[in-house]
Amino acid sequence: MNEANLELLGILVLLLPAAGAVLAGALGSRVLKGTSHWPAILGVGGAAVASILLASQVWLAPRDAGAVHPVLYQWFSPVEGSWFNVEFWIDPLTAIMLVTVTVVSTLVVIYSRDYMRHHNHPERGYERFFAFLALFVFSMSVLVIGGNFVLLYLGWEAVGLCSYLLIGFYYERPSAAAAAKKAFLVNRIGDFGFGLGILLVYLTFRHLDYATVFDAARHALDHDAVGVAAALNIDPSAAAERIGVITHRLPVIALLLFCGAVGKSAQLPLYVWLPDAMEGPSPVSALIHAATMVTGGVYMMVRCGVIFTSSGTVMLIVALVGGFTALFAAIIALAQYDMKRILAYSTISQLGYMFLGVGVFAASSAIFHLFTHAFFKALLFLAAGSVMHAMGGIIDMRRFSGLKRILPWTFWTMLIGGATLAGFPLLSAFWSKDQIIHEALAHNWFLGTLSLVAAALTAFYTFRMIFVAFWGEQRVPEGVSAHESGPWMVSMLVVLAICSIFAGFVGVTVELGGFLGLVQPESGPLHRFLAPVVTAFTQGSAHGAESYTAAEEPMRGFIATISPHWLMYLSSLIAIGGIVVAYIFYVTRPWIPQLVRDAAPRAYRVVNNKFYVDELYDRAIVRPLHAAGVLCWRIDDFVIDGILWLITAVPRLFGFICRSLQQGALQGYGLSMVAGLAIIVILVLFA
Amino acid sequence: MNLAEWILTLVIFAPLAGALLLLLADPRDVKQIRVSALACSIATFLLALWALILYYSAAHAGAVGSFLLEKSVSWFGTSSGIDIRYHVGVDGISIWLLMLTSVLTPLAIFGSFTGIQSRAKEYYCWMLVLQTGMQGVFCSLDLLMFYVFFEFTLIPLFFIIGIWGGPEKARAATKFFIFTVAGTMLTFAGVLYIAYYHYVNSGRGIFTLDIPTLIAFGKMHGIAPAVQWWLFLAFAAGFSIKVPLFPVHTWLPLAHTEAPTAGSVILAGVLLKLGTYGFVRLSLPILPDASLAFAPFMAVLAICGIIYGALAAWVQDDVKKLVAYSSVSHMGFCVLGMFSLKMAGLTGSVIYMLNHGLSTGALFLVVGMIYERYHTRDIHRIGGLARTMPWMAFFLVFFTLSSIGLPGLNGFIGEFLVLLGTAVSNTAKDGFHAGPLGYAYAVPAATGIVLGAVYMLWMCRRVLFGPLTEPPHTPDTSTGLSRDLTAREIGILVPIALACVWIGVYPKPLMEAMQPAIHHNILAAAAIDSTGTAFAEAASPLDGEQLAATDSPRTGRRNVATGGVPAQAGAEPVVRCDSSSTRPGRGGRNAQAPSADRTFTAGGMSEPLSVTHYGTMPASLDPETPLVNTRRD
Repeated sequence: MNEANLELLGILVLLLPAAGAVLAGALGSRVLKGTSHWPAILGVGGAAVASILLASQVWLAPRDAGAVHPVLYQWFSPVEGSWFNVEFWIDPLTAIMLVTVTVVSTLVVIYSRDYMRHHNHPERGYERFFAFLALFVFSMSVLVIGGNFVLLYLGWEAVGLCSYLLIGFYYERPSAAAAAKKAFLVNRIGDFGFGLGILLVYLTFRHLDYATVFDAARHALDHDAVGVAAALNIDPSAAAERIGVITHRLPVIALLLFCGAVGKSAQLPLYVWLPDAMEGPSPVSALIHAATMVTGGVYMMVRCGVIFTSSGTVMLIVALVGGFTALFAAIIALAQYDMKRILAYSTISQLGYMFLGVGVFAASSAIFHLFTHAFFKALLFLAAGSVMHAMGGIIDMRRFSGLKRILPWTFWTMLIGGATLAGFPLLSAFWSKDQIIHEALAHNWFLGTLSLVAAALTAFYTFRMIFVAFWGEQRVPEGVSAHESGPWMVSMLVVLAICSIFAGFVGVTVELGGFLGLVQPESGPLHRFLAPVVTAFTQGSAHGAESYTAAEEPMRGFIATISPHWLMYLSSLIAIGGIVVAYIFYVTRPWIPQLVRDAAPRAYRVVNNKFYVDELYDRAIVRPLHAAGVLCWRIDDFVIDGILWLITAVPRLFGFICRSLQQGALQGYGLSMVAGLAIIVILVLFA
Repeated sequence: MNLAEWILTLVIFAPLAGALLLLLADPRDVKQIRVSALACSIATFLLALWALILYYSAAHAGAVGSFLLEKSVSWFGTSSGIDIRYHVGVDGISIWLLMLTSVLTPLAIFGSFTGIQSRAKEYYCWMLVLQTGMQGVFCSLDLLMFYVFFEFTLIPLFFIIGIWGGPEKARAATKFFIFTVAGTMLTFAGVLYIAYYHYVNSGRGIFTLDIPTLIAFGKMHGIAPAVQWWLFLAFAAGFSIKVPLFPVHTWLPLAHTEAPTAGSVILAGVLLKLGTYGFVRLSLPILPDASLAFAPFMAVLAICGIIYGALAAWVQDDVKKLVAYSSVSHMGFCVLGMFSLKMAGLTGSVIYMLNHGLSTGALFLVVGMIYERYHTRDIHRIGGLARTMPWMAFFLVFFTLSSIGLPGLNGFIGEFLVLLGTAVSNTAKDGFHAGPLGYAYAVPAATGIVLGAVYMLWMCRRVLFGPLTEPPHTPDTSTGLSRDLTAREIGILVPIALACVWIGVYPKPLMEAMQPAIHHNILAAAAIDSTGTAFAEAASPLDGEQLAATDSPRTGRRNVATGGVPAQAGAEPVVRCDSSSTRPGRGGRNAQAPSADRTFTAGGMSEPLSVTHYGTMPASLDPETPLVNTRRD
C-alpha cells in the first residue's frame, strides 16, 4: 500500500464533506438558498469516490500488509514530549466502513434534495439540513479512520452532536426538541463508561494509539514479555509485571468501552433514545439512525477485538445483550403503528444481531451484516419517508392503507427492502443474518434459539407493516392529495433496492454444491478481506474465551454432523412462514389481530407501551436526580448561608451591644461615666 | 531602554492610564467615552500580544520554563534588609492568562455599549481599572504586589456590581466583597508569615517576598511541614473562596445574577482564575508537602463542587444563575486537575482556566444579549428563540458545546487532560513520586461530564427550541438592537468562537509554553519528593498494582534530572524534611547573593540545581520536624 496515497485519500474523505458543510452553512441562507444541496452532494459524493479509491488500494495490497497509520500532526500532550496525534488507521475494516458510510450518505443526500421540498419549494432550514448532513459524514469518517482512542472519542461525540442537531431539526416541535436532548443524554451516559474505558487504557498502556495498545495487548495475552516491552518501550524486566496488569485490566476496559457501544448502538438498556430519534426528518433516520452512526458500536468492538476477546465473560455479555435486544425490540415492534418507529425497533433488533455476531466471535459476519443492513435499512427508511412525504407528514398506519397503486415505486422498493429485512432467501440480509445465527447456534443453543425466534418475529412485523400500509382498501388521510415522490427520491430508492438485493453476494461464494445447489456461505470475498483484521476473534478461544463455547455444548456436535446448509433451509422456512402468517393476519383474516388483542389485553398494552421502560427511567433516575438538584440549591440558600449567617452573627452581636452603648445622648454618657467611676471607686476601696 | 523589560509594566498600567485620561472626558458624551475605553483596552490587547511575541521569541531562544520579560526593582534598596520589590515577569502559565484578560476585557467593554446607559464614564473607568488589577495579579512576581493587586480587583468589581447591577445589587456586592475579603485576610496573614519565616530560616537575613525566591525556598522543602499546613490553609482560605470551591461558593450565583453582563463576563472569565492561579503559582510550589497532604481533601471538595454545582444548575430558572452554577462545577474540574500534581492534570487545569474563561464568558455575553432584548432571563418566559434569532442560537449552541467538552472544541482538551491526570496521578510514571489522587477520583468527576450535558442541553432546549415564547412588548429594540444579534454583537462573539476552535484543534503552541513552566515552577517543586517512598507504594484503588517508575524512555532522563535521588530513596527517606530550622550548613550556602538563588528558576531546564544542593545538604536533622507523608506509611 502506498502510504502517502492513502493518507491523501483519507484527508480528502474528511475534508470534502467538511468543506461541503461549511459552504452550505455559510452561504446557504444568503447565496445558495434552494441550491444548498450542491455543496453537500459534491462534498459527500467526493468523499464516496475517495473512499472507494482508498478501499481499492487496500484491496489490492497484499493481505498481510497490516494497517497503515500515518500521523498528520501532534494534537495535545499529557506529558512533556509525548503527544496524542491526529492520525489515521487504515486497514480493510476502515475501508469497508468508509465505503458503506460515504456511499449510503451520498444516496441519502441526493434523496433529500426532493424530500426537503414541498411543492418544489425548499423547507425552512434547507441549508442547515445539508450542512448538518455533510458534517455528519465528516464526523463519522473521523470515527472510522481515526488512529487512536482520542480521535475515536472525537468522532463518537461528534456523530452524537450531528444526531442531536438533526433529530432536533424541527426544533419548534417540543417532541423533536425533547427527543434530540434525550438522544444526546442517553448517549452521554454510555460515553461516561466509554470515556472511563479510554482513561483506563491510558492508565494501563500509557498510550492511546491503536498501534501501541493493540500490539501490547496482543503480546500481553500471549505472555510475551519481550513483545510487550518492545511495544510499550519499557524495560523488559518491568514487562512481566506489566503483563499482569494488562491482562488483569483488559476485561474491565472492554466492559467500559462496551457501555459506550450500548449507548451508541441503542442496545438494552440504553436503546430508549432511538425510537424517539424518529422525530428527525426521514433521511436522517435512514442515514444516521439506521445505516451508519448506530453501527459505530459494532465497529468499535471489532476494532478493539483484542481487548474484547481477552475475556470469555465479556464476550458472553456482549452476545447476551445482543441476543436479548434482538428479541426484545422485535417484540415491541409487533405492536407499534408508526412506520418509522417499527423500523427503528427493527434497527435496534438488527443491531442486536450484530452484537450477537461479535459476541460469538463471528466479527466478519457482524461487519457483513452491518454492510447489508446499511443498504436495506436505508431503503426501508427512505421508502417510509416517501410514504410520509406523500401522506403529508403522516406516518401512523391506522390512517392510511392500500397505497399499492398510488405509490407504485415506493411500494415495490419497500417490498424488496422488507423482504430483505425479513430474511427472504437469496436477498442480502438472508446471507448475513444466517451466518450470525449459525455461529450463535454453534456456540450456544440458547443464543441460537433466541436469534431464530427474533428472525421469525422480524419477518412477521415487517410484513405486517407492509400489508397494513399497502394492501386493503385504498385510504389516505383527509385533505391529502397523495402522489408518488419526485425523481431524485425514486431513483435513490431503486439504487438502494438493487444494492439490498445483491449486496449479500460479497459475503458468500457462488459455486456448485451449496445452498440451493449454488452458494457456499461464510467464505465470501468480504470475509477474506477482513480476515487479517479479525484475527483476535478467529483465534479468540486461545485467550480463555472457551468459557462459554464449551466442548460439551450439545448443539455443536449436532451441527457438525448434519449438512451445513440445513440452517439456511430452516431460516428460509422461518422467513417465509413469518410472511405467510402476516398475510393471514392482516390480509385474508384481518379479525385475528383484534382477537389476539382481546385475548390478552394487558400483555398487549404492555408491549404497545414499550414495556414502560421510559416511564421507569423517568421515575427511577431523572426525577430523583432533579430532586437532588433542588436539594443542593436549597442547601446553598439555607444551610450554607445559614451557617455563614451564624458565623457573622458573632461580630453582629458585638456590634449590636456596642451600638446600644453609643446612643448619642449626653445624659447616657454621663450616666455611664458616673457608673464607671463608681465601680472603680468601689474596687479601689474594697478590693 | 530595553523593551522586553518594560513591556509587562506597559501592559499592566496602560488601562489605568486610559482610565485616568477618561476622567477628563465630558460625562455627557457617552459615545466618545465608550469608544475611547474600547480603544484603550484594544491597545492594551495589542501590547499584550506584543508581550506574547516577545515571550515566545525568548522562549525559543532556550529559556522555556523560567520567568521571562522580567523587571525587578527593589522599593527600598536591598541594603535596608527589607527586599520588597516591584517585580513583574511571566512564564508559560501566566502569559496565557494575561492574554485571556486582555482579550476578554475589550470584548466585555464592547458588549456593554448598549447595556450601560447611565453613569457611563464611571463604568468604563472602573472596567479599565479592573483590567489593570487583573493583569497585575498575573504578572506579579512579588508576593506583596500580588496580594495588593489581588485585593485591588475587588474594588472596581464591587462598584460595577453595586451600581450597575440588578435589583439585588447591593446585597450581591456586599456579599461578594465580604466573602472574598474574609478569606484573603487570612491569606494576607499567611503572606506576612511566609516572609517572616523565610527571613528567619533562610539564613540570608533579608526580609523578602520575591516569588521566585520563595519558590526556590519551597522547592528545597525549606518550610517545615507543620508550618506548611498552616500556610496552605491560610492561602487556601483566600483562593478557595475566589475559585470558588464548594462549599464557599454561595456568593457566586448571587454576584453573577446581579452583575451587569460585562461584570459577569470578567468575574467568570478572569476573576475566578485568580483563585486557581493563586494555587498554581503559590500554594503548590512553595508548599509542596502540604499540597501533597491536602490534595485528597481538596480533590474531594472539587468533586463535590463538580456534582453539586451541576445538580444545582439543572434546577435553575434563571439562565444566568444556571451558567453561574455551571462555573462552580467547572472550576471543580480545574482544582481537581491541579491537585493531581501530574503534568497531564496541571496542563489540563491551566488550559481549563482559559477554556472556562472563553466559553463561560461567551455564555454570559449571549445571555446578556438575550436579557437586553427581553428584560428577563426566566427560562419559563422565553422559548423557541432559535426561530427569530438564528445567529444567537448558533452561538449559544456553539458555546454550550464548548462548555460541555465536545471533542474538537476547547473544553474537551482541558477536561480530558484533567481526568487523565487525575486517573494516572497515583502512578509513578513521570520519574517523580506517585501523586495523591487516582482512578477512584476520576470516576465520580467524570459524572460531571454527563451532568454538564444534562443542564446545558436542558437550558438550550428551553431557550432556543420549542414554540416561540416572548414576554409581551418584546423584543425591546429601543437601544438600537435588532431582533437577532447585531453586527457588533456577532463581532464580539466571533473572536471567542475562533479561539475555542483553535484551542480545540491545535493547542500545541499553548502546551509547548505551559508544560516547561509547569514542570519547572510547579512539579519540580511539588513532586521533587521522589524519595517519598510512602507515596511510591500508594496502592492503585483499582487493582493494587504499581506501575514501574522506569516505564518510559523519558523517565531515564528525568531520573538523571532529579540527581539520582530516587535510588537512595528507600534508605534515607527522612532526608527530605530536614529544613525546618536554621543550621550552619545551610546558612553558609544560602548566604550567597540573591541572584545566585534565582538561578533555581532562571536556569531553564537545568532542573537539578536545587536537588544538587539538596543532595549535598548536611544530614543534620531537626528531630522535632514531623514527616508530612508518614501518614501513608
